[in-house]
Amino acid sequence: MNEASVTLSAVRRRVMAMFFVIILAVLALIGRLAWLQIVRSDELYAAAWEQWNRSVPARSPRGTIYDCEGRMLAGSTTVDTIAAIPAQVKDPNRTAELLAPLLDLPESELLERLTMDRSSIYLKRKVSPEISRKIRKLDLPGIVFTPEGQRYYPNGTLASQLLGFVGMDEGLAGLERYYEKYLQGKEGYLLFPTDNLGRQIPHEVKRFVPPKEGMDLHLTIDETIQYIVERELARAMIEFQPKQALAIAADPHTGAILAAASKPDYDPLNYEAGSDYWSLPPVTSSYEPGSTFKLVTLCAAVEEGLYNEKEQFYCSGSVNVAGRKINCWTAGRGHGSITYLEAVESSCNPAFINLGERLGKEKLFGYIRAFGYGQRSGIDYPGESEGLIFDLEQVGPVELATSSFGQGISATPLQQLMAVSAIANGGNLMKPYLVEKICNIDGEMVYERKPEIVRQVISRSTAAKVTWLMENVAIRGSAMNAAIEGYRIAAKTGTAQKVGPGGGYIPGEYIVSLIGFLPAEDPQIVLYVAVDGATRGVQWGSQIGAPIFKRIMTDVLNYLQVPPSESKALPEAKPVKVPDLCGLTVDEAAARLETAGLMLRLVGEGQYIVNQTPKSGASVPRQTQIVVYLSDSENTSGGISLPDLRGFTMKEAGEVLNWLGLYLQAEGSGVAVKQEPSPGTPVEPGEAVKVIFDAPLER
Amino acid sequence: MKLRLDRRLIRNFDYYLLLTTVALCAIGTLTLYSATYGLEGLTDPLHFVKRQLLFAGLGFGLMLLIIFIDYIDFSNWAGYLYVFNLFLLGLVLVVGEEEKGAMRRIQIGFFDLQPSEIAKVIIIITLARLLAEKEGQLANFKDLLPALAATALPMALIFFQPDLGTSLVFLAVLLVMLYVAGAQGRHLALLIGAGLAVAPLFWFYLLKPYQKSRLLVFINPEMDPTGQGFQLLQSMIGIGSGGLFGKGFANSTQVRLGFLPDHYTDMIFSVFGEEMGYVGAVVLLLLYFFLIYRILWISTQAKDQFGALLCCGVAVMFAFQILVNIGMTISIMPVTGIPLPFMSYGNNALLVNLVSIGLVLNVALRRHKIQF
Repeated sequence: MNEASVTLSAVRRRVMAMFFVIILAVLALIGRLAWLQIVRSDELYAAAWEQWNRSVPARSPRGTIYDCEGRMLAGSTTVDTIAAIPAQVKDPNRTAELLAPLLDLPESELLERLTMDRSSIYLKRKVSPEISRKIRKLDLPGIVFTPEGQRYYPNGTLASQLLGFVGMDEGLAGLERYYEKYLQGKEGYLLFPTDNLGRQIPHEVKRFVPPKEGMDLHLTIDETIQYIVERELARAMIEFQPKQALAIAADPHTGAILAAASKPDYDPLNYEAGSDYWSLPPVTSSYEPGSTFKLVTLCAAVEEGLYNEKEQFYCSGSVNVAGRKINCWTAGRGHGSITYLEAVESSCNPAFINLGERLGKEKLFGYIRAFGYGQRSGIDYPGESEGLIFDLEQVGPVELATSSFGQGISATPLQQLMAVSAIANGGNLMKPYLVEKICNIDGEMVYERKPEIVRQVISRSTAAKVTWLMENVAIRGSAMNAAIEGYRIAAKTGTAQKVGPGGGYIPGEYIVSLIGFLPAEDPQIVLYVAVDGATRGVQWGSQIGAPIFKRIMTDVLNYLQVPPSESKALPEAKPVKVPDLCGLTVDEAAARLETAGLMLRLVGEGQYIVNQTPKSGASVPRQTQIVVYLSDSENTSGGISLPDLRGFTMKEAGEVLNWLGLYLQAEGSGVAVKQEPSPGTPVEPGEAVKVIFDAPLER
Repeated sequence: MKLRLDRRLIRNFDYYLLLTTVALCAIGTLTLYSATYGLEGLTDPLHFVKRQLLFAGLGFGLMLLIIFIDYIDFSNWAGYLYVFNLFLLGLVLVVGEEEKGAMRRIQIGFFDLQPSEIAKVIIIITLARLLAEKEGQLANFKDLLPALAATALPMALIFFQPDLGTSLVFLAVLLVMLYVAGAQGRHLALLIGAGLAVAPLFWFYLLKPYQKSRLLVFINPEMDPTGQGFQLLQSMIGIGSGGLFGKGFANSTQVRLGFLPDHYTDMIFSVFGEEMGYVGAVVLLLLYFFLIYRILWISTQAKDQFGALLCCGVAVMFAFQILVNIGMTISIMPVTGIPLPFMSYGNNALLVNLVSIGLVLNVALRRHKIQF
């Protein structure tokens, strides 16, 4: 080979190297094209579409929300929104002048919008049909009308927290928010294809793409039950003047929520005003459950064969756990020597601590988790709280003891409801739900919810045993005041101290609750009620929770036409002897009445009970209300400060006034909602007091 | 100069290269039609298509003419061509038409002469000759100096028009031709290092603000979505929205609604990608790839250094422009204003590209020593 061919072959080698680099570069281009044209294609197409089409959105009416019987809870109408296409407005000054009075907007502002450098702009959203008609008549060029949905709620505030509310464009809270993509429907458009400068393209047809209506929700909520619950909560708000009252009810066999509410609530059409009450506390708030939680310990002990109701237990009023003294609720007195059956009936803390110790922390906390505590239930509602339970590593003897009777943990009402549902339905933890089906505008079902068992927590026999024990609580124990004549009821009360922001308990602030189901032999409905921070009456589950539960359940059983339980299973309603309460403090009196089946009603202010009616020794039916008068001194003569009569029936108000030497001047019927003079005014015996009675709802 | 073509040479004619070139011209013309038909402000809706076809015809004529001339003659004329080109580049700075702040064209009748385009092919011929003379003896750095000097002069003139894109083509052609001709790797590394070292000087003293902002926008297209970044975003939106199969011929919404600036010149690939989709874009890329492959193959078959280097230079010129232009439309290369061969509208570029192909065909024809 000559020299030239040597260098030529060197050239060839180098050409090949260069060729290789070019191959890599071409592959890079092909890869990048795939990224843009395949992976990001949809996104870039949407970006392209957006800039080619200037459009005024036309929104659909939202889907309707129905209760389980097909009664409308939230509906929609269509109203017009007025928009402008500035490029097409012929005479902005004249247009602004004509529109200003109709739209109730300043002319200068309208003029600014009409001449804005934008393809389209809203002038006023959702105007009344009358205004819309007037503007249509003007036939102004560049002014367009686009339909939008407007929510309305035929029952006003009913179930407002559950349903949530809708802002200008979307559901902002509650089910309206959770099911936004179903309810919203699909936006339509008034289309104006434009070029780069926003000018309408000649020969392009203006198109109206109609919006697609949203889908309808069918809830598990029963409007009537919801109404009964809300009515009684409203009444409790007046009667006990608490910070909050809440209730939630479910079908224990399916986990379908039948009602859920709290008071105070808000008006969905004026939702800004009620911003503190937008959530649904039965689902979104968690707090210490107190004694209702003892049912979990009881289930665990029964299931593990560690509970024998005939076994004896001695309650000294407190128990020493790892050097710490934990009191029974009896404030020092103690239950003495009792059977474990009586321990459940009287909700004895030391007895439950003992059961917890027998179980040990692994087992007890295993059951607590199995019942769904410390986890979200997965209900179809936004913002569910998960509560809080100890991690197993954190649990020492003290934590084990307090957890056994419901202290030191935090749970939502919904979690408690589902746990008790498991007892009622034979041991299955159900997944709670609010929407049972979703239908499109043609009524075709697009989604159906089937009851879902999360897990079997306890055996059928354990569930039956615990139900029987809960019945005893309602026959002889703290839930006696919830009993409804003719029905077997299983229930448990709870009184929990409130934990302050600093972590410690707030003295004097309690959440009192009652949970139970009816009828015990064939449970139809399980209900939880709680009252937070009552300022009137005695803060005990038996005194506040029980009567609310009873009133709700009485009406619900009647509405559902649940036949009464067979009479042989019913306990005999023995008359009760009224104890002497005079000279006692409220707490002492309440402790004495707790398992006596009587209710305490406080009038006046002070430390000691100075008078009572009915008098001690009288024989009265169970659930009778004992009205007591409170004062700081024994002397009641002279100036009396007028008691707060709100929440009393006419008969009760009459008795109390009569007893203070005052006269009742009644107006209306129902419960006392207003009085004159106002509470706290000094009055002399012989004066007349005007009291207005009305239905307890706050409407 | 003798216009002769031995019949036996015909056997060596590279039909593949010719057909690929014709196919690219055809696709280019059709895309140009799609990108310009009925454009606002045009009295004749086919104005651009007609002119492009006219110059394609002229180009193919020139190609044929070149085939008849033995390419060795170009080596002999390299000096004259080079000096003539320098004259034109100097002239354009004096009498050129100003367009978008740059002096690039000299109007001659209905034709705008663009010396910087012609300079591309002339520098390839010049370098091929200078380097072929060395017969691969480029052991010392001073052996590279003639080639460096020969490139620097026209490149500087073009840079000051200013035309950054074309200057970069010169740089790529120079580096690759030096490499292929046998320059030492360390010398090339030294050159690149020196280039990078003076880059900040360019940034602060020589680049125009618009050139800087183009580079910045390349790094972050969202920086300026209505100005420099706009073109880049619109190009990507166009190509991406084409998807797998595209929107179909003459259906580029980006063009029809006027969202894509420079859509029939530098950004024409974006139009093609939007209308023909991923499948079309890949086919076009493969066509270009085959073109370059074919030119490089001919380069390896050339009978002498000059021919091999000539083909190499042409291949680099095409490859660099294709990669940078398409890379720019899909935002993996900065916006530098480099046209896409055979696709972007441009009379001078089309002529020069066809002439370049003619030179390669010429080398292919005369690849073997003829045995009489």
